[in-house]
Amino acid sequence: MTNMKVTIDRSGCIGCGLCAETCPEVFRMNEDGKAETYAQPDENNKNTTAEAAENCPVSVIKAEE
Amino acid sequence: MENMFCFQCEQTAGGKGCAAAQGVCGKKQDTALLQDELTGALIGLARTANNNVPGESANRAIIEGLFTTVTNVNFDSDAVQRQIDRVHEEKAKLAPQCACCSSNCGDDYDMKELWGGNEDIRSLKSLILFGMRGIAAYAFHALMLGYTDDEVNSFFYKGLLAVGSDLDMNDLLPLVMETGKINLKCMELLDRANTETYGTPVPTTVPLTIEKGPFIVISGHDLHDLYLLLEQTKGKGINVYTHGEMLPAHAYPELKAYPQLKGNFGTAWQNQQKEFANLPAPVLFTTNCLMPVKDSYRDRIFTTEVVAYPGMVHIGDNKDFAPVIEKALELGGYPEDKILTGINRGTQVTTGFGHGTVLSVADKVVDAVKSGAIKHFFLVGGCDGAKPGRNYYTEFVKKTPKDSIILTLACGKFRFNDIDLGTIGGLPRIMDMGQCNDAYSAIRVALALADAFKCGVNELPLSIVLSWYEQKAVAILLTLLSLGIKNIYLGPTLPAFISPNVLNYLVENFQITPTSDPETDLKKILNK
Repeated sequence: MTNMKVTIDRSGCIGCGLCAETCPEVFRMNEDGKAETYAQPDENNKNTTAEAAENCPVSVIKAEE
Repeated sequence: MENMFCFQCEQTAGGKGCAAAQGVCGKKQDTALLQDELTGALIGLARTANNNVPGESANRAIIEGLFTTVTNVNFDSDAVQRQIDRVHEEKAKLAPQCACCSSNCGDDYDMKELWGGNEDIRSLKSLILFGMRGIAAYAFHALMLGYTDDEVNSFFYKGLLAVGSDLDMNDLLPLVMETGKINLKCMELLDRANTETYGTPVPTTVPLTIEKGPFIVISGHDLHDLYLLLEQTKGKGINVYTHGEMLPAHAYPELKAYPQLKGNFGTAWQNQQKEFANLPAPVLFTTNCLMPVKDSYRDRIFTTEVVAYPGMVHIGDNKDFAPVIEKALELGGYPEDKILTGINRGTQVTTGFGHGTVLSVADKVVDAVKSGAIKHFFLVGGCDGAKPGRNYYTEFVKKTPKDSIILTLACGKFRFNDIDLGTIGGLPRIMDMGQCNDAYSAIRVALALADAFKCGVNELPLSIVLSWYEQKAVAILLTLLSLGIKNIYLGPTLPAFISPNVLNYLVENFQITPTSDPETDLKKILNK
């Protein structure tokens, strides 16, 4: 189990889709064109979740342990 | 404010286009809109030049204007506005009567007409425009070394005029191919400029360890800037490390002669926000790829030439790097030697296998092919980028058979250039030919091999696997197509600006294949 919690400030999302490509187990693109989380990270994907947060071009993803 | 629209790079939002408050590259909407205005002004200048003979300063305004709009070059609205003003000044110089004439023949072009127009026309015009942006970067570097070419310069006007004109697909397709031909000419010009100024590159091993003490990291493609920095750091106890596309500079005899040019720092551009965090040294950007600057290294980023970012110190045309040198001394570097590695944990890389080196052992290469020691050549190169699918290129190279040679170039190589794949008959299996513009070297080698085997390039046991990200890669792709080279594998995704009809044309005429997965593609290539 990981204690990592991930949130997105969707108001600033530009809908590039990078997070959903980097970690599709946690992020997906909503019908409104913006990213959303649909699951919290687990041990298998916490690294890619952190990578998605780091690479978000508008820094709206927070992944905190 | 109206919405921005930009789809010129591989990471464009959702694979369709950046149309929000900011591009994926970090460029803000207002800067992106000014970038369009600058392009429209360049088209206006080309229209004016159609009836007048432009001079050197107009040529330079065109080259710098186009270069400014390459992805990850300029994020500074004020700097882009200054370029627009300069283009207008050039127009006024060319045709002073324009300002008081009621005809609109020299008006700036509204880029919204292009972005909102027919998708196939938009696609072909985008190939021309983005290709020219890439060519302009190369023309700029050549110009800095005193090399210029009339045919290349004239094409910028012709191409810009076409982007702003009402042309159909039959008019535009030959211009797309001409863009590729002109890029070949421009890459040849830059090759001549670099090798005549700094010598023919020689195979060189480059350490990734950073020695203790003050140092400067220099990024981008401009060898002239590196030369000036090396001159100004002479005897100051400051070491210089290349970054990204500056790595191949180590192979040029006149540059490697400087003892303070020690090694290479970091990997490809998309890792800079992590790699530069708390770096005890300044970083000088001479070209792309600059990413939005994070707080942990905000005080140590310097830009020069057409690169600009709000709030960063810009080194102007006087090329006085004193602020960079002072910052290096202030930060002091690492207290002990710092062993850094490439992404595959290698501690050194090699470069310098340009056409001069490879063709000097052409007999050896031809013999190795004839004896069966070398069965296949792969050209695996192009840009790197942030998307997860780009580990395709690492896996592809790792899976290539032992009797194959991998030629590489540009920053895509950082995915695999620290892997030791051994040698074949004394030739290393991975040969780094240089920067993206050194695609010219790859073309020279391919043509020489075709000549030696008395066949066409398409009949050689050579496969080209390209990774693209920005507009120089577009120009290079067009060059390969203009040479009639077929069966290119292109990834990690196809350009958003290629419409389905244009893609069909490219697939039917050139058998361009989107990359799938390394194993499938390798099987397909080798079983052909």
